[in-house]
Amino acid sequence: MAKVVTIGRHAERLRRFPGVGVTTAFFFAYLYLPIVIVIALSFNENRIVTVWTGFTLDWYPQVLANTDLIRAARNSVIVAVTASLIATVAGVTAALGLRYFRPRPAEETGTTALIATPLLVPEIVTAVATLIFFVAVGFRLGLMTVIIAHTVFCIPFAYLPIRARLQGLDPALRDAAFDLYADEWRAFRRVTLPLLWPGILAGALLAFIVSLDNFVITFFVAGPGATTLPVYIFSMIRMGITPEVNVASALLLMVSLGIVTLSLLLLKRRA
Amino acid sequence: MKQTAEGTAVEARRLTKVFGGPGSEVRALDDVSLTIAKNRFFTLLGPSGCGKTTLLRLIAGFEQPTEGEVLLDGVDIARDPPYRRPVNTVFQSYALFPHMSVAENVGFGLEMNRKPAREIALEVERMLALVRLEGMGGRRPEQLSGGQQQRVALARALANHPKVLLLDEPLSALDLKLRKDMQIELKRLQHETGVTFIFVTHDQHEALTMSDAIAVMDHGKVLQVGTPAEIYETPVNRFVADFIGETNLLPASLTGRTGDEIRFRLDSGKEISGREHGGHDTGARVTLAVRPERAELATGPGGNGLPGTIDRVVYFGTDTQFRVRLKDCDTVFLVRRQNRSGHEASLSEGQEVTVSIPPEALRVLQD
Repeated sequence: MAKVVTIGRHAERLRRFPGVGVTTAFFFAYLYLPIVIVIALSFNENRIVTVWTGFTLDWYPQVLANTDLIRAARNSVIVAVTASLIATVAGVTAALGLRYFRPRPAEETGTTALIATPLLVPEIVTAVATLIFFVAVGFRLGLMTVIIAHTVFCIPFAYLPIRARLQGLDPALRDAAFDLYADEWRAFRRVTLPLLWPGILAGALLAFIVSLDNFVITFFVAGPGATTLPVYIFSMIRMGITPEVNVASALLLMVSLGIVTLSLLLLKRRA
Repeated sequence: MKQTAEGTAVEARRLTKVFGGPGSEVRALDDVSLTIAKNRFFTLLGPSGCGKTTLLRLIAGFEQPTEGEVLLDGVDIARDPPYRRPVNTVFQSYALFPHMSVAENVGFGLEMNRKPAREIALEVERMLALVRLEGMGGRRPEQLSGGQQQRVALARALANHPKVLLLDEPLSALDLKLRKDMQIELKRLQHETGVTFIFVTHDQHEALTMSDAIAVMDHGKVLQVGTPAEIYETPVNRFVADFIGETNLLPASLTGRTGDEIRFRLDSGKEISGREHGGHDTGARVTLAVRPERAELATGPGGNGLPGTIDRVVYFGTDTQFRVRLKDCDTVFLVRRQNRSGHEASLSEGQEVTVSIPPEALRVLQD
């Protein structure tokens, strides 16, 4: 009780500290203002994006009628679905293996570090290396190379939430399933998998978003006809910032937000 | 329901379990052999890390022994996976499946054994009635209290009619009142079902009050197996005597014997006599053990006595504990006296007394 009071008083004093409000407002403006501006400008009537003349929805049907952009969006979805699915399966098997084949603690930590290291490698390095690799082994650049490259960097994003969920499970639950005559497969299907599900879902959606939004690696390894939405938006912007760019960005953002919201809702309902 | 079958339910033969690799080896079980009779309430008792849970997990099949055999009804099952062993476990954490209802939990084992749905439903009803949770089948485990979850865990294990029920410190998470109730409940269930219970605990009171037989373990070894009375009255060594109940331990040397009287000299120089020598010869260093309730206090010089001063008097309701500081040595000797009438309390702190030890109350222990 006394502690709560202290913390409350502490928070109160912090709020009254001069400049806290302004700093906080500035921080959030810095984070979100550019995004808000992009969305707002996608409704701008004027073709010159920096001059606001009035509200319109006209640009949206125009963008959705752009077959190149739709094809890029379709590529993005194909890549993101395939890469996140494969990465999630890899993440689940890696997490299960590292938990149940009883590696020594050092082995578990080491392997997890190896799986997660691609997160720390500068993306441009990975992009160049992947391109050189594909050229060296004679792969023709196309949608397949994009999917392969995306699968690789999606694996850590899928793996980490699954591992966290698995580590939070009481190991006695799996023992209990064995004890009650479930063999390895049925113990997995009836006990481990249902309990792991929120982690799998979180990992898969995270991988999906990361793949959907990826630009640098895609830009390097995408062959002709394998343009994804971010790459397409980049090519549009070279012609100057047009309302179409703003609309495409706004749409991409909405899809991402929608998926994240969906995953949070699903997680909440399961918990 | 009650079986009268005699014989051996579980036998451990020279069981050894080593955890960890070279350099970091931990010998959790060290050459343990043990026989557990059918239809008994058998307790594995010892401090944490003594190997009792490892032994249980070897019987359940969650661990494979490094060496040795586990026989169930005379058949070695040590290498069988847990799902092929007709034994079931009640886990310390209960390990109820949180995504299933109580009824689904209780019926899980039967479902895995591919029993027909109607049979499962009937058995689940019967089991919930057995643990007095009628009508709770539709609830989720998290909607139940700790004691109720415990009962579900019991029902889930017993629903499969196991040959042996393994219980891994199942009462340790319950508060004192509930724990007492569940102790009685477990005894009732064991009696009604006739299933052999192997119960792991570090609580000596629990072990003494519930068990038909106890195995006391320490450092991966079984030190003594016996009825609660045998373990308490005739502990084989210093560890068992110290671990089970209160005990006064007195280092001494065996100085001689006349007839059936064995004489010992304590480090304080005082001599006392007993009836047993524990296989030691004259001159041997021994440890003498006396239970606090077997010694008596006298205000004058008493027979076979050790003089001292009362340090503290602690009132326990049913009895009173006297802490007596023995003369000429830095030892505190505990004496317990039942409070049958008021006058025993007349002994007070600071008073000079003699601790009088009946010769047959003196046990000679190995270290």
